Amino acid sequence: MEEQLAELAAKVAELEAAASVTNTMFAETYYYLTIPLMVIIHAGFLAYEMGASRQKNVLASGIKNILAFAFMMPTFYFFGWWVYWGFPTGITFSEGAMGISGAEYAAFAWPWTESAGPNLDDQATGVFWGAFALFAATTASIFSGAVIERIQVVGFVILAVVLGSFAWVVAAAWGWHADGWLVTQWGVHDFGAAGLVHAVAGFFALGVLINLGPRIGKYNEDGSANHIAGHNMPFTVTGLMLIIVGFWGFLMACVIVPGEGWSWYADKATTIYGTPMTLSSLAFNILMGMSGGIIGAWAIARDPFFMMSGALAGIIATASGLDVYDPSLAFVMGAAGGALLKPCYNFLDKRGIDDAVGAVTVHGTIGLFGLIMFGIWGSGLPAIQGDGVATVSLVGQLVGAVVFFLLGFVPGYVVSWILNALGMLRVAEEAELAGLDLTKVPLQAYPEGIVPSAPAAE
Amino acid sequence: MGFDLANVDEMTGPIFTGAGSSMSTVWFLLAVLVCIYTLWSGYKHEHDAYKKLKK
Repeated sequence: MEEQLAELAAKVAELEAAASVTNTMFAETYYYLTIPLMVIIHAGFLAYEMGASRQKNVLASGIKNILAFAFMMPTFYFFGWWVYWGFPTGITFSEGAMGISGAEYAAFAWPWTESAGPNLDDQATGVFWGAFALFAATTASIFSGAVIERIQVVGFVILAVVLGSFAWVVAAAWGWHADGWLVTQWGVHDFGAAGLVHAVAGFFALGVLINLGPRIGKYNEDGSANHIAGHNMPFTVTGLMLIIVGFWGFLMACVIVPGEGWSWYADKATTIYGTPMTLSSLAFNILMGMSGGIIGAWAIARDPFFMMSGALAGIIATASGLDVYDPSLAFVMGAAGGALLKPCYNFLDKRGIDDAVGAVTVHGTIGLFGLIMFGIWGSGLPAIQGDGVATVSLVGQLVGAVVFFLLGFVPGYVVSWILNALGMLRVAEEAELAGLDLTKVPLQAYPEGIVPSAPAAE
Repeated sequence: MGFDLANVDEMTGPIFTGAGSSMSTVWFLLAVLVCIYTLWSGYKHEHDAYKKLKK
């Protein structure tokens, strides 16, 4: 009998070990796959920006966009990851209530630690770092499109690094991390990063655009604006669709899978805050928000550029509460986001802000709109696990919106002002007029030229 | 609208905003209205464009 019991116990232990390996491999594979999905976002931004550029600047825009991605990886590895774990409680490096932040905890995120490289005892850090590095690269790409056709490459890369490896990371530490002060004290809930990624990047772009100025020919002497059409609208629209494909990976990476030592539950998936959710929540609400955004934008603008931007706006407008929205509400929120696009874009355009792709509006304005509105629809939702914790409220979401706006706008404005003073921001006037490809790119985008298409309908 | 929870451990079953209340019906009807309105305005825009071309 004893022998049989021992045999049974050994068998149970063996099965437990096998189940644990399977779960760990699932978790590692899950986050690993979000990384190539998020790379699709960058394929999309690349097509989007190059299509939105005039023929004379196509490849220069591509170079800029590709470099933003490339510089984000090492800089996020060098210090961005450390910032995320070090700063949640503010700027004091102190440990938060969950005990997973502060100077001591963040010390494990430095590049010279055992977890910061291939390690058979750690199957989580690399894939989490990779997913976060792609979030960082996304912020840089959001900013990248707004400043095409007149920004210097090195100045741009410096700005992209400030945004991607510092500014948004602070926003994530404060408003996404379970020890983040915006979460623990104000109950901020921003599941899909409408505020802490989109709004931060959008308003960073606004800060830069003020110092960078409009493209030559954008505004007339009386202040009225001209439309500068990109050379390839189909390429731009396809790029937008690719961005949306990649966003499935982005949002998938915002979910914490169950059953691991670092999971919130053994049997339930959660948000990054530890509130229960399902992947089905995302399926319902991403599709409904996206569709609402397209329809809302179509009702106002009637053009495919704003419709596909509307798809993105629909997802961003619902991103804060994708985990708990009623799908019909997600559709209505998406439609509102899509409908707001063109009026908000025109508002900035008339005030001298030459945002070539509407990044400030799509990501900044709609990001804050979605973040704030969730304060109404999601009020009372506990922000994190535990009793007596802060809950979602309109006031809390408003505080989050102000903080995210400042975390984007202030660094964007200040650093671009310094770069401008150093002569590292704007390209020379002659180069802008001649075209950046001709000036500095040893290739031609269209060596055989392009035949113009028919004029646009009114 | 909103949630009335003391702890996230209480979240079970349907967790969406307004679950179990009449708000779901309100959102559903509003979403249907958005679809109908945009189709109507789209129809009008398209036919106005055709009329303009004929002139």
